[in-house]
Amino acid sequence: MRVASLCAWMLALALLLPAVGQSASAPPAAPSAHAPGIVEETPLERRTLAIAYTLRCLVCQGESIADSQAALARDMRAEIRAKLLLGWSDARIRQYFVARYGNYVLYRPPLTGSTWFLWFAPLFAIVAGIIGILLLVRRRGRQPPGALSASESRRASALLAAHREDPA
Amino acid sequence: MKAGIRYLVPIAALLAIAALLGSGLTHDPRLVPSPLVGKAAPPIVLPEVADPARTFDSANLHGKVWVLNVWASWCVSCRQEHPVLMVLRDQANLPLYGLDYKDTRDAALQWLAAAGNPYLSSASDPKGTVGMNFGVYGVPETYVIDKLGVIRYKQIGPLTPQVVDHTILPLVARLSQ
Repeated sequence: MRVASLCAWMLALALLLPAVGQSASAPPAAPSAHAPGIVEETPLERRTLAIAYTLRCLVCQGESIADSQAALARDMRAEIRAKLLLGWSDARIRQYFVARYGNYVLYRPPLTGSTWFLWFAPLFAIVAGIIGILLLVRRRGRQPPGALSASESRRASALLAAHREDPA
Repeated sequence: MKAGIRYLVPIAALLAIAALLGSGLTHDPRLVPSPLVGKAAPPIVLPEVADPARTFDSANLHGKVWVLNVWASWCVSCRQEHPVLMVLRDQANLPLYGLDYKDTRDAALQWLAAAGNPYLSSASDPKGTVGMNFGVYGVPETYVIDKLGVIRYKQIGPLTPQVVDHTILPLVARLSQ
């Protein structure tokens, strides 16, 4: 009994030790400033990414330049960082990219002559839907109940007759 | 008859939307219109590829109609485009200049030596800073710049003989008058 218990303890210890050793010898990896594409989380980096998330990558369209690993996206992030260090405002940085790549780089398209439909189409659809439902409901409410067809009235009188013959 | 029309309305609406969306599919989403067309070309002041001691300054081209081709030795589509540029150099007598985008000088010189150099001169833009000012996003790109230094046309992707014959050469001829 004592031998079995000792064996169990030793087994448990043997299983545990490597895990303990590993956690002691390997501290959590710190992000290296030299690793490509990996940057430390700083206020500057957070602002850079916040702007980058609002800009569309032109190479891998459909990704923001914060998500994209394309070389151009990396360059654009570097440009945002550089402009922030110069003290530029977010709006001015966005304008910088719009001047070069057009409104296409903006994930939130500005309200212009060609985009007003894009902005207001959902509103139009909701209003049109509400008006449509109101018209339908009002028309249905005004309609008198229609006359019964020949087969319906035959069925109705049959039901009435059955009820009369069999007053349950 | 009335019931028939009632059923046709949603089908017609569906077909109209399908046609609208279908026509959208025929556009190439990679072609983003440049806001720079009709605006002054950003200045290019960079070392020349052939001789880095010399400076390529686009201000020297003021008063001339010229064509700027953005290229790189690593760019696969540029190889496809290259014969068209060589024909342009040999036949059209057109001032064709290059912007070597995000490239190393050695690789660029090697490529030009092997394939032939269609450019009167190329500016070296290893970090792509001038390229960003031009809104370059897909190499090769080609710009036609007029006597006042205004961008009049931008081609994204490789030039084809059709684009050269039907767009670039007539435009250059018109601007040169």
